[in-house]
Amino acid sequence: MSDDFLDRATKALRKEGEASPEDLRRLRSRVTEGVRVQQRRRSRLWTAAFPIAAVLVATTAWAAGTGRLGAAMRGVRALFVPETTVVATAPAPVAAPPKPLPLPVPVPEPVEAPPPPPPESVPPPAPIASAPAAPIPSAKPSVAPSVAVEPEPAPTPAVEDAGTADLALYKRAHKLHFVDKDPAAALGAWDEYLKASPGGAFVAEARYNRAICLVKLGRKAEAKAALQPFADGTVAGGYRKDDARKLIEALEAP
Amino acid sequence: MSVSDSWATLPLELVSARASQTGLIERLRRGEARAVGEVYDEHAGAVLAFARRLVGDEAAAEDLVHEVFVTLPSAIKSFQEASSLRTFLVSIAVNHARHHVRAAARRRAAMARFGEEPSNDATSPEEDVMRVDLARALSLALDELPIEQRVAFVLCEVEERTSREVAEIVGAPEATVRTRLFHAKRKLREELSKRGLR
Repeated sequence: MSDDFLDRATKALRKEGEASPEDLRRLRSRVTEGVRVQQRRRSRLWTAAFPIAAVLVATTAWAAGTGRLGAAMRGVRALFVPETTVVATAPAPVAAPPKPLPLPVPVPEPVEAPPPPPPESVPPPAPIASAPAAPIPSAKPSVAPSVAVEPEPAPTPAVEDAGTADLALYKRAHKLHFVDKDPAAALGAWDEYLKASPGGAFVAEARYNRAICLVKLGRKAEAKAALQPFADGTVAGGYRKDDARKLIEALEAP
Repeated sequence: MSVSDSWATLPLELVSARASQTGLIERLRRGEARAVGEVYDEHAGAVLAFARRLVGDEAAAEDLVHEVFVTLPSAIKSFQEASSLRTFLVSIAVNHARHHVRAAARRRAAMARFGEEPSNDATSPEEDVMRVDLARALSLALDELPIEQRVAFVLCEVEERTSREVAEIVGAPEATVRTRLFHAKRKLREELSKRGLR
């Protein structure tokens, strides 16, 4: 075929494409409407997204202000990696598979044992050293050192409001530990809580308090094993890491 | 060289035009509907003409132009101040053209199968009818080309743009554009011959 035909066809297509003012006017109203619809869509998106973002920021700020952010974050983290970060390092009682956590928002203030006093304040560990490696669980704290394990000032009021069974278990263990000062009973109660709520929001606190009970009961080897993950910083992003190290040092001291 | 330095070397009217374009682009970036309207008034003719030539179908071309201007406020974020707004609009059209071209080609193929060519304007003079037929034959032949070659042919041959400008629009080197054009013309000649048009 000749180039002439292609040239003529090209010219024809060029001429055919020309837009008349009437076409453009007609299309203009369609485009204007399309742009308005697009803008309305965008503004609706903002209208929906802004309050959500505001609520998120406000609740985060509130949680940070009231000291509940750590527990909430642990709860969220446990939702995604319950086994590896929280439960995997736990001692036997928490080996059960995790179950859904309570929502982080209504979670009561985490209960934490008081930080242990510096090692120099630790009395001679003779009682521990002389204690059997695995004493009878019902043994009273008379054999325990008065190390770093002394009671929490008061039970957390937030726990009082908790309605779930898991939190009731936590509350009971907390009372036995910090109010009744009965480490043997508290140990059983912590184990019960950890068994019932292996992925719960307060697993780290419960495990730490359980370890304190073991220290009080003079179960040195078990206490060390329970404290070791905390000292290694593998529990809840380094929860009570320094305290756990100091306790282990005190337990190992001659 | 900063923008203000480059402006210092331009004639006054060009500086004014560029400042006006910069203001318009800022308004587009803010999503002002009126700014889209202003761009439409200035450039829609060229964009619609290109769309018709590329797609070869009135309705699909209008859909394409609609898409170009509706997406303009978000697309303008990638606009380079150095290039012209019209070139940018045509490049948006090229990027959105693929499915419109496919849809139009399917429609044309269906029409050809059932022997129902879109009706000509019965009142057109003979020359107009011939021109419409020629344009339609070329659009059918263009349907056989890959989209890149089709775009290169329409921009270079039908719209008579320089290969440099086409390279800017399609975002490919000039040599690539020329190669695409060469292959496009060769295939078009073959296609038109196959249809007995010579």
